[in-house]
Order: sequence, then structure tokens, then C-alpha cells
Amino acid sequence: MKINFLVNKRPVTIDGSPVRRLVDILRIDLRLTGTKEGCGEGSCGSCVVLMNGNLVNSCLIPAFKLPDSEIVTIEGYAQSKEYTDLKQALEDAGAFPCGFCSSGIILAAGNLLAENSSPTEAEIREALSGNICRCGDYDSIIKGIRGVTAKPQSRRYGKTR
Amino acid sequence: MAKPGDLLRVLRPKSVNGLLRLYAKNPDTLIFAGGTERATRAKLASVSTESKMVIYLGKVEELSRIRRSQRYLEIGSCLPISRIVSIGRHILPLALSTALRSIANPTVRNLGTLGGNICSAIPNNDSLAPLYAIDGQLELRSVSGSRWVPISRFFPGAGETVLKKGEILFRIRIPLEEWDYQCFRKVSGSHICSHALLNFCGLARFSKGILETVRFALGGLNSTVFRSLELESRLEGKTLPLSKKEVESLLAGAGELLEPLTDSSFSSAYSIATGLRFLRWFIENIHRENR
Repeated sequence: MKINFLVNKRPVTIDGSPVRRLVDILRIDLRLTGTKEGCGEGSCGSCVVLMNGNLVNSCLIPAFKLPDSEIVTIEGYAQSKEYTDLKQALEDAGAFPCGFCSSGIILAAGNLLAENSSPTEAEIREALSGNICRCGDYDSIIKGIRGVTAKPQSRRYGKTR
Repeated sequence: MAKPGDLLRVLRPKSVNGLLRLYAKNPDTLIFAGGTERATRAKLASVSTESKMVIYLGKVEELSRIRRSQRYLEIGSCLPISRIVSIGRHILPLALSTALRSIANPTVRNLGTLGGNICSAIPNNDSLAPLYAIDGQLELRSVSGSRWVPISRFFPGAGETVLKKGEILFRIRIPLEEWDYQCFRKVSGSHICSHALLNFCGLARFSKGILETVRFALGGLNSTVFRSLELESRLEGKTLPLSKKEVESLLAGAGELLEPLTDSSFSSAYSIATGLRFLRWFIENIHRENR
């Protein structure tokens, strides 16, 4: 089955089984290894990507759902100014000791900030409730995200597609 | 040698009529929408090793509509749960909205659908107890036509639905009634995406300290969601706060009707005790709300 879709604004065509998971297509076929696989069942958030602007678990997306869709992975998001600010704020807060969850958490945080430029701590915790940090460093992660929202330029956050 | 999935045909109808015609011709085909239920993913893995078909519902626009009338909210069965919560923020009954927001996590709710939560026929799925309590109705469609079924009659037994071959859940009708008190509570396993082990929904309407209407439903005990019209009617017309005798009599009545699920990870005694604790908590909170 031939499937055409966009990944990080580039047209992609894959030919293979319609039940292959998006996480495998990204990591194996397209070598976009910033997307990680943890649990493989939508619980840990390591594999999240933006699909048509919505945060989804790529381990739960079979290839047959992909035609005409638009995927943004951490590699695509990393081209944005929002990413630079968020990464800096998270580094300043000393978040992500091991880094395995970081791509998922940065996408989830970016997605939250695109919709709500000054979220409360409870809203941040809710938005990240599908992302597990195995190092358990949630306080630093939340401190980092709040660091971004404290800056005046946080208002410029917009939906990333 | 063919790899898993190479022989699989995926059909992507774009209209409900096209879908129903396809499903009528191939009634044993797996239909797939959000794909977040573990059982659906397992079925997809098994059909993909054989020369079989899957019908993908995500392109059928009519299944993702939401419509409001004066008395009802009608939700297409394939609308993602996060969209329902967001669109219905100020419209959905609070107990149902709380239940939907408690399902798995935000990324799973972006994929999972209300239709899937219902049709997987797991009695402790979070939408079911609120849908029972609010008297939700389901529209089922096939090539032969449409029929409405109250959710209380949709599950004839554990893991079963009344869907006939070639029939789909088209939309869910939510009555928009005013309630003075609504609650949803659940007990889950430690795993973030684990199904609720027990959940409870309670609704009450009262006036001048008198209970006019009470409804409650409990998922995770008995083979389908538990709701007793007889117990509810016992509370109606009672003055708040209920006396200790009235509360204990209601709990004793419920205790006689509750049966633990045999495959539950809880012990029978704990399941029933927790279900009754939910009910007691609900009754006690009606008292607080009425002060």
C-alpha cells in the first residue's frame, strides 16, 4: 500500500504494510530517531508527535491512518523559535537528567503553550499527564515550562503545524 | 513470503451510506476508528496476518459531527474524546465531562472515540456509568435503517452488545437536563492507561430540601453497569438530610444487588465495599450541596 503524507513539511511516500506503526516508519524508514518508543501502548508519551496539529501517540497510529495527514516530529519542531525558548528554559531548570522523555515532553509543552500562553501549574501537570519521565524529574520540568511562560515573549506562541 | 499486513485490505469509506454498504457486504470485517483500545489493536494485529479487511471510519465525516438541540446533545460516534470535552465544555453534563476527562491521558483522548469506549463493551469503561445515569440513547444504523436504543439495553451481557451484523453505532444522544448535584468517581490501577476498576456516577435534583430525582450507576461490578430504578425511587421524595436509617437501608438494598466480576483484580469483598462507599459518599455529598 502506497501512502503519501507530510513529515515536517516534506512530502513522504512509503510503500509497505498498512498496519505498520507511525513510530516505526519515523524511526526506521525516515531515520527520525528523536521520536522514542517506550511502552508501545499510549501510556508513556515518548513517541508523541503532532498529527494535523493534535498531539498523538505515534505507537497507536497504523499507516493506513496517514494518507494526506501532516506530521510534525521533534526534528520539525526544533526548527521553531518556540523550541529554542522552551529548550533553554528547560535546560536552565536542570530538567531531563537522561533525556529519553524530552522530545515527547517538549512537544506536549509546546502544544500546551500554543493553546494557552500562561498555563497554571495544574494545567501544565494535566497537559503532561500522558508523558512519563523515568527519572521522575517533574518538578524541574514544570519549573522550566513556567520559566518560558514568565517571559514576555511567550505571547508569540502559536499553533505549530 | 508475505509479511504481516501485506495481504490486508483497508477500506476507507467517505460517507455513512458507503460505509453501511461495505459493512453489509463484509459484516465480519474489523471496523477501526481511534484504535486506542487494547482489544482493537490485538484484533488488528491478528487480522493483519491473514488476507482480511479493515474498514477505517476516520474519513466518514457524518460520524464526527456534534449537534445540539434544545433538549439533547448528539455526538457522532467517531468524534475524539478530547474534541467532545472541548466542544461540550459548558454543555455536557458535568459528571459525563468529568468521566471523559479522566480517560487515559490527553494524547490518547485525541485519538480515542466515545463510540469506541461504548462498543468495546467493557462495563467499567469510564463513559458508561454517566451515560446510564443520564439515560443516554444510541442510534444504531445499518443498510436496513436506523433504530434508537437506550444505553441500558445496549449490553445484553458481559462483553456483548445488541449490534447486529453490519450495524454500527452512529451517534450518542445526551439529554441536557439540569441537575443540582452531579458526581463521578473512579478507582483505577496504577497504570495510567489502565481501565477504571470501579467507577460511579450520581445525579440528584432537589427542591426545598426534598429529593425530587436521584440516579446513580456503578461500573465494575455485575456483568454490565449497575443501575437500580427501584433503589433510586426509594430516595425520591425524601427530606434531606437523609436519616441514618434511610442511608443504611439503601446501602443494604444495594449490597444485595451488587455482584463482583469474576475477572476483577480486586477481591469480591473489596469491590463491593468500594462500590457501597461510592454510594454512601454520593448521598453524603447531596446533604452538603443542599446546605
